[in-house]
Amino acid sequence: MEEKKHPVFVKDPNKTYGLMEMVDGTSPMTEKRVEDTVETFPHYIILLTICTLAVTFILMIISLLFDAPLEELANPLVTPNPGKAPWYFTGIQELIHYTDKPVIPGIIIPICIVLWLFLIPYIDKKPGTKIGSFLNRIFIGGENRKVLLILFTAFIIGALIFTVIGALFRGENWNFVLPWK
Amino acid sequence: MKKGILQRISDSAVWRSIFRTGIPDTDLKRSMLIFNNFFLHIFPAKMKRHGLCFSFTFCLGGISCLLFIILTVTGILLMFLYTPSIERAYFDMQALALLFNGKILRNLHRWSAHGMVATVFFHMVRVFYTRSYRPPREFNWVVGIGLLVLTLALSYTGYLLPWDQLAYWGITVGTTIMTYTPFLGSYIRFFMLGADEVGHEALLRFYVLHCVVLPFFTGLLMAIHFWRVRKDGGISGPL
Repeated sequence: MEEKKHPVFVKDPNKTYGLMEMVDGTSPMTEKRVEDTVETFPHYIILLTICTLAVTFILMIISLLFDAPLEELANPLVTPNPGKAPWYFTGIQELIHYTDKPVIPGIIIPICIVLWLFLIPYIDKKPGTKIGSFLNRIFIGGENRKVLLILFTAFIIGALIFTVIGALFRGENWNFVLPWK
Repeated sequence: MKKGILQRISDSAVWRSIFRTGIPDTDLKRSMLIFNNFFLHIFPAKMKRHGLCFSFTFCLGGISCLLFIILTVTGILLMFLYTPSIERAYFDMQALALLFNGKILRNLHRWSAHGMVATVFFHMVRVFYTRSYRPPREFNWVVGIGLLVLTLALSYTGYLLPWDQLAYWGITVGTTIMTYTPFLGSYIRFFMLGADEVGHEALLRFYVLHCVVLPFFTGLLMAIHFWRVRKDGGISGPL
């Protein structure tokens, strides 16, 4: 019966295996459960195109409406008050303002944060030893990583708050000002 | 049935020598379209459905990459119009502002740069909260932090180039923070600026770093980053 249906597949008497079944499918994967996949083209490519065009369009609008700042020619003799770092470093500048030991917020804290960020995936893993599980409890807070979540969220909120204050709410002599006045 | 003009073009020998896959009307041809195209072959032929969910990624990594491409294009165009010397840099900027195209070019470059600092940062935040750095993706997180540092360095070195008061004092304040480093502080600042004060040497150093050295390493790390995304199990979603 089977051979009449598919005369192409004639069984070779020397073979120890044969064609068992024809299965309809869209994937060449075998011995794995079916994954919920879609074709990259068109599903993803369309989204990619829309997103690319939208971001480019928004940037064009922003560039039409707002001009990049260009102040007076650089003059080493005229110090602006306050002299500000680029906005992504005003958080550090704001922290330096609170202390008379600028090495701590200016150098030590940023280096520690970057090192800590590098190390996150290596400390947030299943502990193998007793010391490992002890360190995990202190720095990660177990399987639901409570300690790490609190530390990271504090870092994000702190960075945002200090950056915004430093960039917008600081005027002459680094005194507190309201940006809309 | 008579063939339409588009059909004729896409069936022609020249077209088929460039784009080997015809009209992608079967799943096989749709896959071939992806992996036979130089620009698309970094994508998998098939993706997990949830990889396309906006709320899984917020497109932050993709937007960062797009901004980097926009910055590269506008940056190269700006290099034609800019001279890295303290006599000319500022006046090149002023001349640029007189032209509509030049103004748009600089605005695009500036706002994309600010945008990229933000999107790269929020991309890191998203990856942290979805805990996507877990094995086997640990190393890709490390590459990503490297890219965040490089993005800040790129933005910072570009900040000096217009040579206006904002640039000059921004870099002066930033490099003064470096002098707080114990023992090595003033050496590090001298190494950065090539002199004791922000001047011609610093402008040239920042220009070369901004236009050649840092983009090269950023591109390299981006290539590794995207390659690892594929090798470590595709974008977004548990393994």
